[in-house]
Amino acid sequence: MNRIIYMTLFVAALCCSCETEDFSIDPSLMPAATQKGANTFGCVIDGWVYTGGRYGDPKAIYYPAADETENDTIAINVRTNEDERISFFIINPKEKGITIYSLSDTPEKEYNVFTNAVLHGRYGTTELGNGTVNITRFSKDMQIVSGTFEGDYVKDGRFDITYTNGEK
Amino acid sequence: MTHKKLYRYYGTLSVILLLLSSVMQAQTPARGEHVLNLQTGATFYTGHLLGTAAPSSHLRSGFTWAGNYTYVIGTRATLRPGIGLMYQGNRYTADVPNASDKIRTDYLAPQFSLHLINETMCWHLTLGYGYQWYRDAGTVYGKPRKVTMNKIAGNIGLGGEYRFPRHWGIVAGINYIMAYSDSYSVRYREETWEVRPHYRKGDKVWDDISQLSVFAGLSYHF
Repeated sequence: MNRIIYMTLFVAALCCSCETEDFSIDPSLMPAATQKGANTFGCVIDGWVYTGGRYGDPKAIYYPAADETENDTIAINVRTNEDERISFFIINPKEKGITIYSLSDTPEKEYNVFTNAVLHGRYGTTELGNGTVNITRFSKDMQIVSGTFEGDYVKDGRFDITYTNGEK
Repeated sequence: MTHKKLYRYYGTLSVILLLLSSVMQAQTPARGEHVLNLQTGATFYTGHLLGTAAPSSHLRSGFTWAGNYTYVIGTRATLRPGIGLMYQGNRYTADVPNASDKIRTDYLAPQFSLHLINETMCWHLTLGYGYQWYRDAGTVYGKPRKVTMNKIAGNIGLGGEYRFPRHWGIVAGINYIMAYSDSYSVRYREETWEVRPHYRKGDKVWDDISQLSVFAGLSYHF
């Protein structure tokens, strides 16, 4: 439930933010997979490249667990076009850990890390299926989270984002 | 020197050559010679690579073809001016994992030239100022990606010709097409985006899409 509230607030904040279009970004070119907080995002859905950066930097907010019953969560939200964005969660992010993600919100099952990856487009919402996330860097000092991901409908995904801390 | 200054420089030189052509035409009989050239060769992309396969050095080298028409003014002077028209096409292709580029450029420009002529050899310097059409019909992850970037461009060329006794000759030379762009258009996912350049030089931002070509071919005089 917390995650839904987080995401609702996150998306509301993102929609209210007025970021100018960065014309130096070519949305058809996949960014390099880096681990330096370059604020880049890219993935391939149904063979097409979706990238962030042109319509504002990719956003990530880290929500530490409030108590033992909750999980650490990173919410990622990326505008890939004027009226299109991709969002997902990373639960209990751990560096160098390959984890399974699922669309079903079942943290009490065998997975302690998963994402809900969704493409919100002009023609509606598309769920992006199950897959894996490999967090290649998660630096709480530098507030950087980087990784790669792929799944049933997502290929060659990568992100390298400087995150902000959310409320506990 | 910025590209605008270079363009002005080219324009000034072209006007000077045109004036020189007029002066020399006034001093020599109003007769001349028509020359047609057809050439092919290798081209090298000297500017910033913009394609998806840009990391591949194979995109640097390409294939070129060209055709020129020149009217060389006068028949007796050793140094003769000329005016004409040049077309040059260039093709660059490269493949890397998940991406490919098929760049084609077409350049068309009026030419102003000086010809140093003796019995069998002719050396020429040409300057032109025209337009370059640029398009890249590549793919990304197997899906089509089209880039267009059509810009004003200038060229400078040097060449030599060996003339056979009658109409024919063989020619060889180099030509440098200088072109800069402040934006390109990319068509992808049924959308079109304008992308502004990534390369900064001083206080200017532009993409250099210049090319150097080496030719050889045939000429026909009539």
